[in-house]
Amino acid sequence: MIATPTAPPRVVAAPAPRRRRDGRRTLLVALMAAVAVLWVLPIAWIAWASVTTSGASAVLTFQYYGQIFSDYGMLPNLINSITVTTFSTVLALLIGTPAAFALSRYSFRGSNGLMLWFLSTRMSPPILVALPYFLYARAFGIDDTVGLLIAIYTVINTSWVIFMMRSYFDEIPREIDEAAAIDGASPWRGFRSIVLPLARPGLVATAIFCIITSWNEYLFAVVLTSIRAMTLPATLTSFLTVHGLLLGPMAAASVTVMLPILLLALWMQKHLIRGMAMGAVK
Amino acid sequence: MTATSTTTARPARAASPPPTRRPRGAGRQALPWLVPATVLVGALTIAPTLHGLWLGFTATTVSGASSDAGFLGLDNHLRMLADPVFLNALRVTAVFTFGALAAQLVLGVGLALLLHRDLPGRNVARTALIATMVLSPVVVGTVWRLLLSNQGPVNDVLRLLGLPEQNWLADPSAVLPALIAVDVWQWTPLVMLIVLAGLQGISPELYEASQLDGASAWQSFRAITLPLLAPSIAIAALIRLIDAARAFDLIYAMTGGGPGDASENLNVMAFYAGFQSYEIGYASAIATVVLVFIVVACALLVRLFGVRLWGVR
Repeated sequence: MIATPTAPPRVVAAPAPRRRRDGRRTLLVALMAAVAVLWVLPIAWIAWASVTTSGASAVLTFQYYGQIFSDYGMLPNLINSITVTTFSTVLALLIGTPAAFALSRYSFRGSNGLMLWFLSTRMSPPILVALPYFLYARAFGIDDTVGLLIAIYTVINTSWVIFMMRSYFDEIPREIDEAAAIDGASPWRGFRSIVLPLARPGLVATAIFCIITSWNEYLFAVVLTSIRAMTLPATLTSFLTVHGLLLGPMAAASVTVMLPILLLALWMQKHLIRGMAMGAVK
Repeated sequence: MTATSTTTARPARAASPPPTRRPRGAGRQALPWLVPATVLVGALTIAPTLHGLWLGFTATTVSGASSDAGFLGLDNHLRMLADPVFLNALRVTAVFTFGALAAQLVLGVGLALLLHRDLPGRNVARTALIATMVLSPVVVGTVWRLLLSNQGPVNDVLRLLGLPEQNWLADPSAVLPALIAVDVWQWTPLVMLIVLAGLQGISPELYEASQLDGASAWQSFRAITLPLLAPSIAIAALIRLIDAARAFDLIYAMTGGGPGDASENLNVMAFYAGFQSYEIGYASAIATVVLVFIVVACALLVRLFGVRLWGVR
């Protein structure tokens, strides 16, 4: 809806003289441009700082990227981030999508309560669950494992999947799956081969959300990993503690964490915006 | 079921809500679809949350590999109330949450109105704006820590303009406004997007009618735009309220709660109590306060806006 904006229903009380309106328009465009610059400039600066030597005469260099991967050993962290993000996104979609479909199609006693149950996970501060998780991880000897992070991120994502996919399923007329049922398809078959393909844009948007959430997650990564399973965001602050405020390498590390997500967001902008508006508004 | 089904803001959706079908045995039919997700979320979120609430009443610490619990009753909570660090953290949480929320709502609605106009380049501007909200708050905190540092570019610009430099993150009176500003930078676009979606659902005929009635632009904004936007604004406010109260990454990465405890909110305090002092019980009690804070603030907000949210009042 938001991706293809229609002409705005703007009303001007009294038709002002043309020149005054043009002046106002220019002013608004300038304001908009200023805001956009304010939003982009910090990101542009960090990107610049990551590829230039600091000092009076800036020279283009990729030494900081070489440093963070060879000297500071961030490559395993990158691999951890990719592993955790991939598995937790796929698993959450597999587990959450059928549940979302059921909540969209079946209304039963407690279905609203169940939706609230899933939503409530969004309200609780992560630190409150991080404390018991920490105890469990130590008790079972599973701290600092990638598997533990995958499990936790899958759960976080599952609530998102249910929340977002339900609103996409709500928009697919139920006559479609009813027709499949009349043709003799089982509910599962109708869901798999009729409804799910129609909900593809929703799946894409939801997957992007899961990817962003898993890739960016920080608190659990810091609390539950130390060396082997550490993901990229967690390295950022540990880097700071160990090496201090080093502009070049820190900029390179920051860009390494943000670049994949930024590219994904730009590439999938339409889906992302629709998903944001949808997940939020419905 | 839609949040806005009580208004006419989104006629396309409100007109065809999925018919509520409640045949016999619907619950049983839905069961296999719901069990995996329900069990998983129950076991790994709801149960640990309840456990966390319980831990707040215990003297759980971590010593070596074992943890020892002893029931304390309200000791942790009483200790909290007498702890100046806690009272300060509560204040920081409230100032950060409501400061960021208010600024984001005002700026977000303003930006949405601006980008809703048919201005040249608005798609580029929108793309520029959505970049910040997909970033990890840890990265945002790190980037702004560098930007605001003594030798950072913000101070360079101030120097260039002949303005006094500021040691932003080392000054107890500047650190909280700086954190709020950064949170506003990251999340105002989300508010804008949600409000923009709401704006696009308002029928242009309403404006034409009010124009015929001789209403001024301000009058139609007050009488049409604002009331019809209320559900969108309410949801944006709710999302931001919850996330600002839960904020940990940004603050921890940017200031670590410092200088001193000037920017230490409840989450950061609970983190230090739990994972540096290993007082899991006390940390849980502090984290519980965050949950209570969120629940109370959300209830107030929902009442203030008087709208249905996510189909649930």
